[in-house]
Amino acid sequence: MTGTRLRLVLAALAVLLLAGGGSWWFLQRDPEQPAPVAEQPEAPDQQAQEDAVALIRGLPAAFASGDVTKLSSEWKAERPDLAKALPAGSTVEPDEKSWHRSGNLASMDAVATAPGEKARSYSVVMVLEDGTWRISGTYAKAGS
Amino acid sequence: MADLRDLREGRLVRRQLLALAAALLVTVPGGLAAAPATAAAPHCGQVRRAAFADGVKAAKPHADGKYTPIILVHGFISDPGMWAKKVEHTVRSLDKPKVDRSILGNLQALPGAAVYTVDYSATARRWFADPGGGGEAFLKVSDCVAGDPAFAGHPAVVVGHSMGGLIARWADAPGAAERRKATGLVITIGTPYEGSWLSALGNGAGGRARDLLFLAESACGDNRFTSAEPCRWLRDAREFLATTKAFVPGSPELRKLSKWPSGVRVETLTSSAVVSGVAGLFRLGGGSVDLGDIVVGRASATAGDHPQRIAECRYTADSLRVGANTVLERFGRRLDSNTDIPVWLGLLGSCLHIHEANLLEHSAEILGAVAEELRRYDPAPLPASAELRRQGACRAACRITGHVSFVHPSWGQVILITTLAAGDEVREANIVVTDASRTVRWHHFGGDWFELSIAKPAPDRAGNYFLDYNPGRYNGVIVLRPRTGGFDDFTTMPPEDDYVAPFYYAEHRDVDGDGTLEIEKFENDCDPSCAEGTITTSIHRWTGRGYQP
Repeated sequence: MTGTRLRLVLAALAVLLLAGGGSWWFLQRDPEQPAPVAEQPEAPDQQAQEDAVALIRGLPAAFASGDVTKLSSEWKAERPDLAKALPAGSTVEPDEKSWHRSGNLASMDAVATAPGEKARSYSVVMVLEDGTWRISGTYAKAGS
Repeated sequence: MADLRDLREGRLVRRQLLALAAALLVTVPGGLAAAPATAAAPHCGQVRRAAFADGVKAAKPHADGKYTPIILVHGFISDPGMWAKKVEHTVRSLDKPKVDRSILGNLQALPGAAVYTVDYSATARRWFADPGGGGEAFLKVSDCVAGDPAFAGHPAVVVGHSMGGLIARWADAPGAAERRKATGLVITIGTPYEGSWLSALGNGAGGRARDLLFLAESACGDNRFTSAEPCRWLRDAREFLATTKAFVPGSPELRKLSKWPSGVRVETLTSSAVVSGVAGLFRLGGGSVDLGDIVVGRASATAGDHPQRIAECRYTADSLRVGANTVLERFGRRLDSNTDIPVWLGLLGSCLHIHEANLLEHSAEILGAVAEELRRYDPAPLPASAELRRQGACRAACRITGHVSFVHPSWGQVILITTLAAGDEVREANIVVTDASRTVRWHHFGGDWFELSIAKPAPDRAGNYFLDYNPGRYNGVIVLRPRTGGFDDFTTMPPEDDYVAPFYYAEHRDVDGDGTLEIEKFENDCDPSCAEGTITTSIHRWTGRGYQP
């Protein structure tokens, strides 16, 4: 009997504590503020970065096949001579560490090598169009 | 990782302190107001002339004892201190020019210049036409100098950078005819007449110019360079333009502004960073990219049919690297390694919007234009009578009987000259106006007159010049008033080689003693003969448009 009463008192105390705490939290919180959620680590831009690397590495093959889908709409409208931009057999090696993104624009440095020519360094600027990174332009760096 | 070397040596620190001191002289109210030299300088109510900079000790008036107000108007997110910064940029070389003066000091050293700086720095992050904005601050200065006798006859020169140019145009808008008359010359630098391309830039448009700006901003985002002045300013400008939509081309605010009214002389200056051989698609060149002054495109800054000067910074991939170092040196750093070089920082060098008032080329252009404007008030030299004859203003040998100098609205400083024949064999009188180069600008052949001279005071209080002539019997009065392209004579001028005119048989008088001359006209009824006739007189007074009894 004594044990049962003690359990009842403890249970009542627990209910009171929970109810009081809940009421206090409810009264204190700013109704305009959304309920706090567990803080998540900032989403890494890794996927975009990986997409950019793949995009840049894939340019020689795309250009060789006349595929302009990897270019921004502005470049597409210009109908560039892709074989002149990157002759067959060219390679483009991006520098993943140079990735920089701000909104719908991003850049990554890359070294392009055409057959029989010395390697040239570029800043490759990409623009996010329709959810896909596309080449907006390449900008030659010093000494290249 | 680039190797950064700190160049912050004593020399650099001293230079920065000197620049800071010069800036303080301008921005602190009354900084040098108590200096004896300032006491002789004209003040305008509560508006104070800018404190002297660069060792200038005193202002020197024009020959007439008056001054020409030079009003400097800064742009958005700026302050009057910009005018006191040393001229430290040039497009010709990526090295720092060896000029130890500012545009402010250079202008103050010009004879006749009284330089005022408009300060609306507290509201420089707002559209100028908003209540309490830069427009009101400008009107306070310009209206005050316009009404000050120290500047009578000397319309102001206005130099406006960026939004400061829009303010000057807004102030001279149609409907402000009086204010427009008080404005002689306007020079605008990097003024976004048609808006700012940076303001219109979205992620979906802008092409190669947008890309290059993105690369420059990316370089600024590097922790090592975020504190560089051009990077800080560009961030501020981006934030300002993102919140103030007025600078978007075609915005309601811009559309509401009038064009420059006719009659105002305007010169437009701007900088332009032109990048060539850089943009493209790998080996495929993309031509050159014109970034304007990074904030305002050259077409916007030079809109309208006015003389224009564009200072171009031409960049290639290699010069961008040198340019990046120049930018970094200005805040005491240098890149020695060629790895990981933020070359795109080079775009924020000499041709950046905020550097335009400290650019050697613009500074020289402004100084030259203002000096030329002030020289209009230098006394024109009196040509010899032989020179007048050589130019056909005298048909035979002549002698000068009177002359007076003044500023003509079209020809600048001129001399009004009266001549008579030098000998007895030929009689002729001429009224001649020559300019500062002794060139005859205007001429009237009076004819067979015995007397011709300029009455005093010249001009009278109304601004009119009186000439007395006598062909042999009666005296006559001619009145001339300078106007654009020539003179008004209010029909007082006899035809060439004649003497008959409405005020033949008349004399000039100052009836009221107020300095404004009247014409006393005589009439003889010649009854029964002219010798015995009754002479009546009438006083003709200046009405503002002519002379009426």
